[in-house]
Amino acid sequence: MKKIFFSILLISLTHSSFAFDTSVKGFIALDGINLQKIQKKPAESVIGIGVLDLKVFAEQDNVTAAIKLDLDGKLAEENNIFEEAYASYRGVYDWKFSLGKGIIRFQNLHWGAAMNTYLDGGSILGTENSWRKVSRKAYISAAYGHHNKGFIDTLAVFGDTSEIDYNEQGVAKTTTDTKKILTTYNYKNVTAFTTEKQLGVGNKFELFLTDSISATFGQIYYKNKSEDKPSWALDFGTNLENSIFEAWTDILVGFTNKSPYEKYTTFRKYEYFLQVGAELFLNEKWSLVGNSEYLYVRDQRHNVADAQYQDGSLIKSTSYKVESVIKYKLSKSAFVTMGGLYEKKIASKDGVKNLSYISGVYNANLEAYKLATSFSFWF
Amino acid sequence: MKTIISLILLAFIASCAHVSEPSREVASSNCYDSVKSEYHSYFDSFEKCIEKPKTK
Repeated sequence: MKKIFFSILLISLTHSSFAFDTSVKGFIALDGINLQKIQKKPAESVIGIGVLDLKVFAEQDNVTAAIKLDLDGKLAEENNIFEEAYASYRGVYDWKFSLGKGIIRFQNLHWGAAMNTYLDGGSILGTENSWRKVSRKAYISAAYGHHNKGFIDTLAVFGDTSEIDYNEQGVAKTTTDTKKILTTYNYKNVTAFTTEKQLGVGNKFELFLTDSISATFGQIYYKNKSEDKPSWALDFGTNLENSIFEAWTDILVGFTNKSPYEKYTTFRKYEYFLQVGAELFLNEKWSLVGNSEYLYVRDQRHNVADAQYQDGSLIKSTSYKVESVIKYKLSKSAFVTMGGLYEKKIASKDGVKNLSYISGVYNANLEAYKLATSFSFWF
Repeated sequence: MKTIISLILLAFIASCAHVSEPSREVASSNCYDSVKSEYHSYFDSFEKCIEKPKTK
């Protein structure tokens, strides 16, 4: 009797089951035999996993949800295993509404040749720029348009998921190091932000001029209540793509202000970034890729004794890199790349040039080389 | 207990087997073929393929 009862119950439930599609997509880049040399330091070889990403998509009718796992990130930190987790609704024609945690798009991000772009940490020597890929933000966004319409505009309101911890009186909690010299704010990881503490707005306008040419124009604004001025950036990019050639450019101008005890603090920082790259498809298997990037950062530091490196000095730094690889397509979604990269960083402190060491500046006035062989697979 | 688990499994398989296709159009395989193997646009390109029917 029980069997019959359960059979009827379960079979009746199946009539209300939903159409549900899921997909798992991923990317893995393995550093084969990579040799890199920073001036005045011994050469070293890097072998292992370069990048590892996995993203799960679930889709049902007008709703899409996605979770991107940050498998090579700091998994011990709370809420850090997922870099993105959001849901999107497309029930209104031409509109897309999203809510969750993820990337705030305003730049025309493009991988370089042997390494990632400066805007996503692609440097041997390390760079001083603040406006990198804006990820791990809690956000709500609305996008209007699509490729056939000729444009897409995406507007997002966001906040950081690592928030300064305030006490009940609204005063930021701080920690002083064991030597009782340096003070830093306490942070806590949050899944949602409060606009009373911080607010960011980002916008990206993508214009599809033809089937093969597109342009992007992005703006971003961010301020939290510990900062006296808002930070902002403007970005302009172009993409050209056809069967024999692909080219990309990106220009970014940005300003950053942080309070003295925040991470990666600066009093007034201006940065200017330029990227130009191209890929030439020689045949179905082989292609040549070239990419060059330039970055100028003018960093006026705070003059606060108990904040790290904040001695009131003015740091100017110029970083540039030139890279080129030859790419071989092993299969539809597997590539081997072989090539090289040259990078140089020039920095000065209060107008004094050619210093061999500047506190708080990575590898000042050094150059670096890299010979890279890597294997990448998309699935 | 085993019977219940078997029945649930059976019902699940049955539900998957007779689910009707979603009313929307499914993105063409051409769209997936054109997904770029470029790190920053890969996942976005794939997501656009999933959503493509809604833009028609």
